[in-house]
Amino acid sequence: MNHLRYSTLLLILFVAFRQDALAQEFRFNAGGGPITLAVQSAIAGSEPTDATDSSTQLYWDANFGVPTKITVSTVSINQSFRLYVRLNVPSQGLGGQGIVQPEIELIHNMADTDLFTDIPSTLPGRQGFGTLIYRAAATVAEGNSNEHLDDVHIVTYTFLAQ
Amino acid sequence: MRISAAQTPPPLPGAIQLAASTMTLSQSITVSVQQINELSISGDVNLVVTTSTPGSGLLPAVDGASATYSLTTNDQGKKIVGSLDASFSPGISLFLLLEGPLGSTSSQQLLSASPIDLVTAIGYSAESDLTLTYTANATVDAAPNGAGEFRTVTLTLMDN
Repeated sequence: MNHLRYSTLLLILFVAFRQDALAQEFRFNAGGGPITLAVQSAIAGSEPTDATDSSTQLYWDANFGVPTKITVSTVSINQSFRLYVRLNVPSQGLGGQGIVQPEIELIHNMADTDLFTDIPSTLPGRQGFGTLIYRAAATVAEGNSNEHLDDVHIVTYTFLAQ
Repeated sequence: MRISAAQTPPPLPGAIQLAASTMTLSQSITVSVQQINELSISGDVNLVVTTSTPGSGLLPAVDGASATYSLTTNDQGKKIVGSLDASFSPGISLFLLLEGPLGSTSSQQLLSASPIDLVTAIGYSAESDLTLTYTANATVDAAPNGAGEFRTVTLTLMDN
């Protein structure tokens, strides 16, 4: 009888544990599909104007039990131009808590680089969202896509314990 | 009651293991850089031929400070051609010399209604306040034209 009761307790603990694991969440809250940034204008005498995009939003629920962070990396074979990203997190309200890192240059085969750190493990701060701000830049000396082809990046965001 | 207590267990070794797991999202970003060619001119020029040396022709009027141009191109093999909207009266001519961006070749040319090369071999450039030097000549046969003749000079950035 005691043995049966002990088994039942273990089963309940396992179920509770699984529910906890499922509560973690990391997804695109808006956007998330392919994006094209076109550098296509300049003021005569100046370098081309950067192209930006802010249509993508991340959502997270850092129910890992420990502080969490978001990192970024990219793969872009034969990269010719420059691409940057930063995460804009509302400083108040439902934006979540953590530390925003400065804008990051995305370079082919870069190591995972911190984008947003110190996300707490407890509510309400563990849940939040932020807007990804992409910025593409190219100097005249870097030429154009007719010469080099477009850069295609596969940008990966990783949500993990810190 | 025992069940209720079991639903909020203290942290387990397994929870720490779980914290080491990761979740990833990927997004495709394409960076496209179009061919950009921009040219602008600022400043109007007023040239007055007024003096001569006895026994010689009229002295040319030169202005290299009133007008400048700026250029941006992320392409190679470009040139700038220049032309007038209409010719001057007989005996009056206008020459133009452009300061070329680094690595280019420029030469003074007589302007007419037909475009003529002013700067060639232009590569990647983003330079501003490059000088335009105008030289107006008039022969002794040219008729005085009072307030002057107004002409528009057009510069065009194009493929070599």
